[in-house]
Amino acid sequence: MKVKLLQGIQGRLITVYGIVMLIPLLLAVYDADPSAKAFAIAALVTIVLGITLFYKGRIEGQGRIGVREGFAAVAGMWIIASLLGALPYYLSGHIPKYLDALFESTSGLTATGATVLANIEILPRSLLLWRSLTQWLGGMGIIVFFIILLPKVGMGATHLFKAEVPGPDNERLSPKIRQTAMILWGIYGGLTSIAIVLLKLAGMSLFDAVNHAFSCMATGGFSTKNGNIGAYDSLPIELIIMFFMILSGVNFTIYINIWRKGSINLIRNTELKVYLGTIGLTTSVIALSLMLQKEYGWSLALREAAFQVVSVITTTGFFIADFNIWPSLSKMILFSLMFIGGCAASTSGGLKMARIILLLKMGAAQIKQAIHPQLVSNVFSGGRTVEPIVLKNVTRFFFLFVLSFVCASIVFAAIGFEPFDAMGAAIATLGNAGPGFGAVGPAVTYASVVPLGKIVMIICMLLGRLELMTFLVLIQPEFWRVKKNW
Amino acid sequence: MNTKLLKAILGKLLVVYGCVICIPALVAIYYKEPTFLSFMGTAVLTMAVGFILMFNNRKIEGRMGLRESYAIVGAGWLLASLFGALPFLTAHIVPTYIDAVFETVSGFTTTGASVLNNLENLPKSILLWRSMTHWLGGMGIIVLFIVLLPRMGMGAVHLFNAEVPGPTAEKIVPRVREGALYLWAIYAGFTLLEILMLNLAGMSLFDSVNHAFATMATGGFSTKTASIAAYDSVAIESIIILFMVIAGVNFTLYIHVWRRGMSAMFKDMEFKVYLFILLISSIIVTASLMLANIEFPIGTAIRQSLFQVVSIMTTTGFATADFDQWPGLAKMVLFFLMFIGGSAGSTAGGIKVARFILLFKIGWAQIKQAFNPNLVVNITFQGKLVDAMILTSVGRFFFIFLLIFACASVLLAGTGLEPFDAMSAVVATLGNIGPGFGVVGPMMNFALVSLFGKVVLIACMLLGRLELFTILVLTHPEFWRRHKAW
Repeated sequence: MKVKLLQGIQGRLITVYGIVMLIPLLLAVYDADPSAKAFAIAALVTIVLGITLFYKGRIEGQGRIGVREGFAAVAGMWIIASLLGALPYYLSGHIPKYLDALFESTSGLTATGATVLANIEILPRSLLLWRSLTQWLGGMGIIVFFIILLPKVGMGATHLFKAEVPGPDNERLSPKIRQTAMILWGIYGGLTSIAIVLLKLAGMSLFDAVNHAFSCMATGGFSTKNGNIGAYDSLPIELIIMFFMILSGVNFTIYINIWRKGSINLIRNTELKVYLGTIGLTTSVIALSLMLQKEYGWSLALREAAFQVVSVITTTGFFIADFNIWPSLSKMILFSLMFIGGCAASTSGGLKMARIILLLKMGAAQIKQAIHPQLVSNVFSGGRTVEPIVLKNVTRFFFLFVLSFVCASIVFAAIGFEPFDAMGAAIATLGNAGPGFGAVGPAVTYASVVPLGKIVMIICMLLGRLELMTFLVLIQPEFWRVKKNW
Repeated sequence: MNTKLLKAILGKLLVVYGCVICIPALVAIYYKEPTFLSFMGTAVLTMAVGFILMFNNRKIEGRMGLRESYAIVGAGWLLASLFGALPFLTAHIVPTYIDAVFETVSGFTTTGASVLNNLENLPKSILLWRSMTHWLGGMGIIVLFIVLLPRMGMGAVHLFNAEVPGPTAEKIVPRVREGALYLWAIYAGFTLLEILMLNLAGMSLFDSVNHAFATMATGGFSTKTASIAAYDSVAIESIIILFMVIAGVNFTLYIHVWRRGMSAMFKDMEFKVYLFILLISSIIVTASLMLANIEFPIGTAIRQSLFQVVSIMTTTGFATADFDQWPGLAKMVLFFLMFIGGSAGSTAGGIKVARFILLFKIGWAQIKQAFNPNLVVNITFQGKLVDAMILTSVGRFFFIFLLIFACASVLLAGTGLEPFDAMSAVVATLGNIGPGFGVVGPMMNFALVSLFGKVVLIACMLLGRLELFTILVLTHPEFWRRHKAW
């Protein structure tokens, strides 16, 4: 492990992060807002830390970024960024306890959207902007991670994300990677801009439009309003947000392919079809459930069902209704959707559509195997046979995800949650969804959770965002050995 | 599909089964109960149908292949349930045939979920029949069949594997029939021992027989409405705990102990993990009870939590307390224990400890391989290398189990059960435990579940007992193809 190289990379990223902090600082100055001091200190600390790290790990000549450096860089970044990102909240006094500030910061960067704030609207604009900004950055970072970094760290993830991007492998950063990253950020930024314009046209103030567009594209869920999107009670706004949530939950490699080749055969893309189909099916069932079991009118039922389904499956976490009072069937479906998540290589969390589809195909293959034990049953995807290594990784990921969920649920039950609420909180944080059920439902927020609970939730948010692997790898002692044997 | 052979064997099965039904008929005579007619009638009907099937398919040709075995096991269990339900219906013990089938399937699959109330006022023959279905289903009606009727040829191996649970097929003796005989001998031996001990501890002979049947089969039907809580006897509870633990152990391990002594037990990894989980869970649940209520006497806490943990993990389902009233942590632990289940090759249900051990080993290997994709990790179990096919099947089994759980939970939620109650009802049947939480809790019963819900749960019980695939293969079109291509 080349620690110096690691420090070099992280140093640069942290410095950039500190510079980004200057944006809300400027807003605070413009608003003559006392929290400007907090941002100034936070930015200063961050930039100084970044530059220090950079100099300590200055790269001599061409650096080689290996698998381990990549992993550590990414995992480390998210932790450090969360710790530093908590400073503005804490120093300004708006979130008095550092743990709570860390929770909010992590919830931002991991695009979870769970909040400890009981009253969001009393926050100064600079802090509100910082909240949404952390989500937007987190979303951008994760896209790059998925498409550029992850495929090359092995585990057969290449096929999973269908990316044909050469990545850091023991070569230096090639220009092609930079180009791909630029395209991604271009698409991400472009869609965000369109969202801002549309939301402004639909009636939101410019400030609100920017904030909501940021958290929407990152599938985060932070809002500037206490009542979240429900506070606007505007169908156009809801439709625009729904549209962009769906877009954010799509596999971003599709967007890259559209950019490169001009068009793409979307009809053959199974993941997209299943994604949209699931949205359609679950919306219909929940709408029916609301109409028949809670006597909603059909238009209200459809409106709320569609919005909540899209918000939950993309793990955004915006809400226009307190789904805690919905019938059991609807709650059960939403609960399950939190596990499924959006498409792979999107800003969504959860297990991801691509994995679910592969698991289902494997299940079918297994049944076939039971009938003909001598036959080797292959799993097909996109017209090609899927390599066994990919299949193995998907099943193992599934197991580890469920295991993390079980452990988290037990901890939450231990701190006093009823079983279903405990499980809801576990999947809401692990799947980066946002609001859960019961005591951490949309109407209540995470304010009253005890410190131990918040710590475990922070861990879950990070584990979920970074697809478990990154952290679980870090706990292996072999990972830190200085010399590589291979 | 050799339907003639199928029908011939099923016919024979029904004839034997009809004779067995005469036992409760005789008991009805002894106790001078009107149910005599129900049982006699059912016995005669079953034997008649059996004889007709045998007669029409006298000249059997062809061999019994894999598909025929699945069909026999599936159809055998289905027919046994459908015919065995008749006494409940004709004696007016239950209102509908579905209820009768529910009770019977719950018996054979050793689930122990009941739609009956006020058990003390039911005819003794009915109570005995309930326990008998447990005892027969526990070790397996097909396995019993293999013992009683020779000349099965190669088909016996397929039948055995189709019914006996576990991820790996262990061959302890060269001939399947001999192996089946050993299993039944051990099973019967322990049952006799338990009857003796319970009787000595103060239970009436009738109750001892019924409870011993239900314990060794890890079923859970009791002759008392309040289950074992009704006796309020530490002696009885201890005996039952002992035999529940015994029943949850891999029965082939007992054969090893017979041959090589007790050391075989201490070397068996699954056995050690099994006991470890029981111990840890009991400690956590006891702690949970103590922490929630300082005045809770520690002796009672240990007594109740140990019983419940053992009862649920071995998927028996006896109750000595209304654990639905326990604190959140205790309930959460019990809920997750329902998924784990007992050891492979025992009468317990669930996913089985052996599978979890393999899943953990696979998961750990995954982490190791994450940063060195070329590393080859071999997974060993009990000192032997595990075949890759088994590893893949374990992962997929885990997924399919949870998939069925999720779908069934949504369906049950649709019938009106609250999310946690729905999930507990599903896992309690899929894992063949018995009582769930909430409206299907230990001091309640399943009578209030809707008809549709009961049908779903019946399917879950069968799927669980027959380890999913035996039933699922019937859904694959490949299964029904006319002729084999090889």
